[in-house]
Amino acid sequence: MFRILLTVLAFELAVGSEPEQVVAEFHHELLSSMKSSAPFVERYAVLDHAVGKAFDVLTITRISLGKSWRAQSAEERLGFRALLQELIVATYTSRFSNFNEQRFETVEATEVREGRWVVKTHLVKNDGSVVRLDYYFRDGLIFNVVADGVSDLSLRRSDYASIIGSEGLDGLRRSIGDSIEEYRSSDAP
Amino acid sequence: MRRSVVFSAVFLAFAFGCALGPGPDYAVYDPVESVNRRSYEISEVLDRGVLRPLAVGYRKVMPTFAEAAVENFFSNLRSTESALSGFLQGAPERGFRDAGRFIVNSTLGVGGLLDIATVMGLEPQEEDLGQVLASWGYTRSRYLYVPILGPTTVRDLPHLIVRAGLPRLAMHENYNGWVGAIDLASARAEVLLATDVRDEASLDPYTFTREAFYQRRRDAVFNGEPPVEAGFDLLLEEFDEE
Repeated sequence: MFRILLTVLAFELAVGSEPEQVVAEFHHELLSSMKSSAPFVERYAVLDHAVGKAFDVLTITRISLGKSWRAQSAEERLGFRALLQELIVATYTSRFSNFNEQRFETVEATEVREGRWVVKTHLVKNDGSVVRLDYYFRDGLIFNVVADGVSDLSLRRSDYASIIGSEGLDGLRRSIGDSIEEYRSSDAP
Repeated sequence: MRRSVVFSAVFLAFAFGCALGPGPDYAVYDPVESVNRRSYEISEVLDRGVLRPLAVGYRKVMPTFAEAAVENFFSNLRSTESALSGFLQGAPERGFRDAGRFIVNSTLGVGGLLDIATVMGLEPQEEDLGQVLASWGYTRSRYLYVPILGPTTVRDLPHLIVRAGLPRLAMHENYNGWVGAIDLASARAEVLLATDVRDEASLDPYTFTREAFYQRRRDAVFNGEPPVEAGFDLLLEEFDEE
């Protein structure tokens, strides 16, 4: 009995908590993308899969659109979800494109409330400087990334609210589309 | 005469702004958005025309070690505000750390050109007078966009003024136009990456800058450990209501 308990405990320690594992796998994909000399399209495809697996893009879309979400039809909601996934993947593909001896370290994983976790990590650059990256989880998937105290989701929500206020949802769609194109073209040979 | 007018204006703005605004702690509060937006636009024109090119050129001509030395020198002079702020927040260990940093870097670090203190394990605590006021309960403050100097709040104005004035105070007449230009170029070069990321990622750079500023300040007040529950509650509040 004691041996079984020890085995279970050892397995738990080795695997880590599930959110920690999700983040570790995502970081692994980011590092692979940075080390790869493959073109944007190929790295995008790999990271598209990784983002789809680790992130709750529907929740991100819903919070990002704020009150406007309620007025959307199911089809429009899915359209925005797809657009945001494209933007998130294009952003990661563009920003994580050069490997310069960076490494990721997991600091701690804490269950704040049932089903809600925070995984704190560090991106350590080759000069030793550190960027703090905290991943917020809801029901096993990431819905917010906080870099050095700045929440990606909060920024997105404020930014989008401002554009929706001035240009409407069509304006927001256009602006997001332009951003995706910029990321794609910035990586073009 | 001019100095006393400026001082009175700042004092009045501070006294007027000290009244806490409505809403949750550390949340964005921008009742004079139209004025701030105008100020932001003017600053952006100045930045694109003068400051950014100056910083890019500075980075191009300065060898990395020289750039680091200049950054170390000015940040050493400014670390006195951090030391004082540590004590004023009732965190003497942080105050002593920064005071120790200042002494070590001013002596062993050749007047602050080398950051020997960090090598010795004395990491910068990055405290300031704005954080002192926040720790005393001034947790909600009006947003201000000061031309050239950038985003701040009424609460953080004393920090902005002290930060700008400390090198001048320490160097007296040696802080001439050239030294001031190097200080400015170095400070702008430090945030080049951040502003480039902002320009790339934001749809409305004004809103983006303001939101990021408030979040960075909140993070600084909590020394990089803000309560995580609030992060969930704030974002999932509407979500959970449905």
